[in-house]
Amino acid sequence: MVLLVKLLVEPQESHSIVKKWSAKRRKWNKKHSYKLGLRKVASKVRAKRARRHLQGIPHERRRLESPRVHKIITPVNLSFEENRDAIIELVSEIRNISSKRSLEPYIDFRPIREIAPSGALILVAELDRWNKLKTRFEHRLNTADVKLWKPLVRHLLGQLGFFQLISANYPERLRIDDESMHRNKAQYIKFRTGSKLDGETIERFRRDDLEPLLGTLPNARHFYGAVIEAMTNVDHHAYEHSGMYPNWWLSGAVDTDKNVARIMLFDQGVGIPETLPMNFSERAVSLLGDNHAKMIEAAHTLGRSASNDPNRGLGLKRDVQNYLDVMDSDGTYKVSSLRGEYTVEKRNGKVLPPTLKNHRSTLPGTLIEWRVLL
Amino acid sequence: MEGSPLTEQVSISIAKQFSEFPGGRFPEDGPFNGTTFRKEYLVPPLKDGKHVVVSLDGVAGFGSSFLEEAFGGLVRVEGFKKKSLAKQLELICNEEDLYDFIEVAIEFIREAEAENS
Repeated sequence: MVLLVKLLVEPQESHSIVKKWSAKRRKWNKKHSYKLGLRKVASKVRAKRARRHLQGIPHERRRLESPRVHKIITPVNLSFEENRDAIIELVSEIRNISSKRSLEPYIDFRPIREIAPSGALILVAELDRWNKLKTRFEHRLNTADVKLWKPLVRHLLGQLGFFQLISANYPERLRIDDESMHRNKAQYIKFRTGSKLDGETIERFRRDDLEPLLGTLPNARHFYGAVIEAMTNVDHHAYEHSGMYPNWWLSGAVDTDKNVARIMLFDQGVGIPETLPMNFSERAVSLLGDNHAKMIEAAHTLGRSASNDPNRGLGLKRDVQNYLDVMDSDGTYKVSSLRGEYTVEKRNGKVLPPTLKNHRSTLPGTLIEWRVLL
Repeated sequence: MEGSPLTEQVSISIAKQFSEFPGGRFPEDGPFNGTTFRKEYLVPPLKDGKHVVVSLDGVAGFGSSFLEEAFGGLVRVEGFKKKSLAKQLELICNEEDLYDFIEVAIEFIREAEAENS
């Protein structure tokens, strides 16, 4: 500013100042030219080495060479039924890393070869939870190499709304190619999420997403009753004493090859076996995790709920499971919560007795699934 | 109903007057819950001794929580008797797939009466 004023006021004098500074710089350069030259050479060598090291590595992956980056590798099979343990391990790894702010996580989706809607929804819920974490300041999980993902996997995850949740784009050209390649295969429905009961969302899900793929959904009003009651359970019981923000995730899939429609509601709460009041012997067995399936079955017994009120605890049996009973076609109703799995099948119009199974790995939450044979 | 004192009739369409998307038990569950429906739409005319006709047509569906709180709650919370409700309260629908929900609502009234007695 002073120089500018001088230039305006005293042009002669200011000119001499500039000249004086240039002379000084020339003198300094002459004295240090040897060192400057060395520095220039060294920086050029470093740049050349870096270029050679990163040769062939796309720009988006170069960042991943940093030691701060924590790589999470997805399993080959993302089907919850077939690869339960690996999916639970993946979710747990994402959850663990979310508390370590010093590390920059990166998920590699390239290994996935098989995918099923329930496993995909559990992963979507975890990524959505990640994005809602205040500690992450809404930084999405990193991924790269979308072009190298298996096209069917990329297509189905894209339909599910996956690319809203991660820091990678699904290029339009790839999207069109994938869509034309897999037009007649299974179709996933974009996930919807919320924390409270939302009847309008259930209705939009059925009318706008599900029915254009499979035609009229049988017993739609009972379907509404089943989902709204499952949401009520999430709101009332699922997140009790968990310290987590209550949320549910709703999605579905239609596979015309296998003639099946799947509708799923997932929550990341404490799990049905934890919310149900237990007697002493049940509590003892529960500590070992061996009665989780039995506890889920008990929750489907009328009048047994976390509230202990006789007029409550009605929804799971009367509505959520009831959709299987009232629908015209065959199908399956399955509840997976913590280590337990409770399945009821309807075959040839007859509802079969429930099958119970306890697993080794613990699902962090509850997944309810209705399967309708078309 | 010869000699009945019930002369005035009140018609309530859940879909048109309350919501097409009812759900939940308590006000904290959402605006279209069973408690709100019972207290704002059912109790006032029933207490005035009016004949109440509730139409279920047009709703997306019902969950048990809503039906129990709205109709079972008339006996359990508001103290109405099943016998008086049988005279005063009428549940109707023209759409066939809603009949089940009428049966469930009546069952909740019966169960609430059984619990109270």
